[in-house]
Amino acid sequence: MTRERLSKYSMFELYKIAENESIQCDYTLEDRERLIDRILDALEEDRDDRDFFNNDAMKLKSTKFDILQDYELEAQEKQVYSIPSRYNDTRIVLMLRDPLWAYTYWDINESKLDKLKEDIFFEGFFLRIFELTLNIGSTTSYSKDNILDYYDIPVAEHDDSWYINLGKTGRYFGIQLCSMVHGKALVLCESNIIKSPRGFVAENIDTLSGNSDTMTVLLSGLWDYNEDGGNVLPKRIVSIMENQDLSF
Amino acid sequence: MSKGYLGFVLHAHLPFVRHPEYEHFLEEDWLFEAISETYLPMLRMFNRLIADGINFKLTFSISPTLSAMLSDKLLMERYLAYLNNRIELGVKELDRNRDNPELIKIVEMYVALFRENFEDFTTLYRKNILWGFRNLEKEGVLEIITTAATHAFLPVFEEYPQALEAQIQSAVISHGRNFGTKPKGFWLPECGYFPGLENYLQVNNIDYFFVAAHGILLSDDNPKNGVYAPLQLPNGTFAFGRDFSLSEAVWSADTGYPGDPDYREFYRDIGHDLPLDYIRPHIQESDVRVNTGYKYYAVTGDTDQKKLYNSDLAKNKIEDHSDDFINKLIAQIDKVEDRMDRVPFIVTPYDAELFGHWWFEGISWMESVIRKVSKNHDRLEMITPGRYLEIYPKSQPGIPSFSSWGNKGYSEVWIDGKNDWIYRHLHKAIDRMSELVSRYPDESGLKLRVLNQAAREVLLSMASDWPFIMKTGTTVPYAVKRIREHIHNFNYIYDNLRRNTVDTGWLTRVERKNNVFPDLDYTIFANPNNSSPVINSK
Repeated sequence: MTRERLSKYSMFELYKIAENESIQCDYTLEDRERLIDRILDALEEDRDDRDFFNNDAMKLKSTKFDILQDYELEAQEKQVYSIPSRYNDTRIVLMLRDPLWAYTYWDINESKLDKLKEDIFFEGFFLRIFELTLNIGSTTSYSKDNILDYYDIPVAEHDDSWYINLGKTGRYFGIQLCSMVHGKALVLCESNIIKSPRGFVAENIDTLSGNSDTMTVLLSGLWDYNEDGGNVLPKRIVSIMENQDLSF
Repeated sequence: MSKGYLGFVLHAHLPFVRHPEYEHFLEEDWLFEAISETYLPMLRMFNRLIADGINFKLTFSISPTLSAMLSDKLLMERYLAYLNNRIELGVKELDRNRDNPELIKIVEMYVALFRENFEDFTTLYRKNILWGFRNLEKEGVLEIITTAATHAFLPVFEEYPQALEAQIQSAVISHGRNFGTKPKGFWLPECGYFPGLENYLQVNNIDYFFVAAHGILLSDDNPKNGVYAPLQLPNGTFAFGRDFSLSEAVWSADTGYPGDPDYREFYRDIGHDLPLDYIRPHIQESDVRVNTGYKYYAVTGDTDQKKLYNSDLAKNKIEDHSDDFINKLIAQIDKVEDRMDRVPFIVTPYDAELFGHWWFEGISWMESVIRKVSKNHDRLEMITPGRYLEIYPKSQPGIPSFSSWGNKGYSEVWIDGKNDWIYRHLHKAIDRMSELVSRYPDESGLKLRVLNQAAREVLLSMASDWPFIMKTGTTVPYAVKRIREHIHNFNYIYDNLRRNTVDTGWLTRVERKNNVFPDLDYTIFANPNNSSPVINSK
């Protein structure tokens, strides 16, 4: 995006871009040139963020779609497709994001919600996250027999999704959406079960370097072995390790 | 003396973008740029190698959506118009720069490229370049494999077996239609793997697939050969791991070859640099500036003062970098060969479009590497996974770990604050599509058309490209619009079927527009569990 292109936009369009970029504007007083400066700064910051938060493979892949250096305004779209914001179900879905984080989204049926809110003892909603036993097998619900641990996260009525820090890797997890009524937890729905991967090499890392088999593992990218004995972890593995607070 | 196998894997993919409702459509340029800068030059390179008697073999994945676009009449007519426009621009540029011999040389290079493309596209391939790839497979130099039908990132659909089956089965059927063969291998979009995915591949007769390096390395089964041999899964499929360090030599913009100062700079294009009055006929309507393919500068360094591109300097670097790649390859083989019970297989997968399009010299670099591998045949041999499995039909048993080649190695790119809103809609559409299959298990006539289009819309909404674009920030409004369009279309059909009505005019319009997978059978979305995997209301 260039100053030349921004200069061609109307003030209305510039305000729209500013809004998209979360720039606080005084809509009556904003000077045009100053607004353009602020937009250019915000876009540069976006670019820096994208560089930081994407690895080489992702950055390069994005060049396939990089034909436009201008800003695309949603307002310019000729056709708008309406979709519902929710589907009036009572359900919760759990999705694994990485060994330590999961994403969950949920919905509550309107009449169920109204009923709850009518109850004068209704106190609010919360998520109950369960760590489950490894031998959960084909069961799809939680019981005293397979729950190892759980913790709660309070959520507001307007929330409909959450990122969950699982706390441990290599475990099974499930989640329930609950309401608190008169001090009692009422389960509204429960999610599918996910298994987080372990996220680090199978055996004790200390024993690896003396073993010729596992040296091949190391040479194939776990770290960049060299003849001087220096061990430099490739970026991707470093970031995995950092995420999990693992270090050598 | 040690010996190693090299497995180049090129993955060619673009999402389905086709807009007959507009005369010109910005995002269709993704395809036109890729044909001009990657696919046609790459076909020429492969044919040059064959003509010179070079022995080589590599794996080429072509996505079903890309195949559909490359054989679409409307899009290919539009590509022809694009080519003519670029040649016209080149002629104008030759005139504008007539007093600048340095620039004239660069312009001539591009004009020659577009003219060669025109000749190959119209005369050699008769407007269907898939023929070129098919012929190379018949020649025995390419092993063409497939990928998920609309390139869905499969781990986010782990709970939806019907969606996984639909993505994989439709891809295999599409491959058969386009190439007349059954694909032996499957490119998992973004190398996205979760344990259990292999079962969907196996029922579709897929022998092998690829995973990120840590998918193999972090397996519970302690892979003794690292990524230099595949893991054999309990169901008999094989998982090949991506080599990390050799792949990075090409991928990394900072430390890899493409960032060399003498190579061509991708981001400086006359579409953005020249006065509007001059460039207007070659950019989008409403004066939206776009890339034209005419890029005159070299990477130079971290400066805005770029030097003019000099193809002779770049040629020298291509040789240096192909030598470096070969040396690294041999050094790696030397390190691991003694530790293995078999010849190491180094698998280096890349997005095909990065060669020629982003890394302008990438195709020449690959040609140089292939020629040098051929000269070192006592130490190096290019093979495909299919061939490897003929040599070594058995491998260490094991199951890879959940992984992808995205940032930090898992699903972070596709489940992010910028794109996570899409999943409640995608999952719901899949659930509802399965509901339609159980409600209408055996339809014909108009209802069959409606149901098939509903299935098409669900598949199109699942493309990994849309959340990827939302995360990485290029053409975001278009990606959002596409998700909304397909969910809207699906919901419209779903609601109409509930009312037992069909809007035939609308259906015909949508069928003509989103015409991918003409032989799709909607019952592919039958849910084997016959119930939603996640709805569990108390």
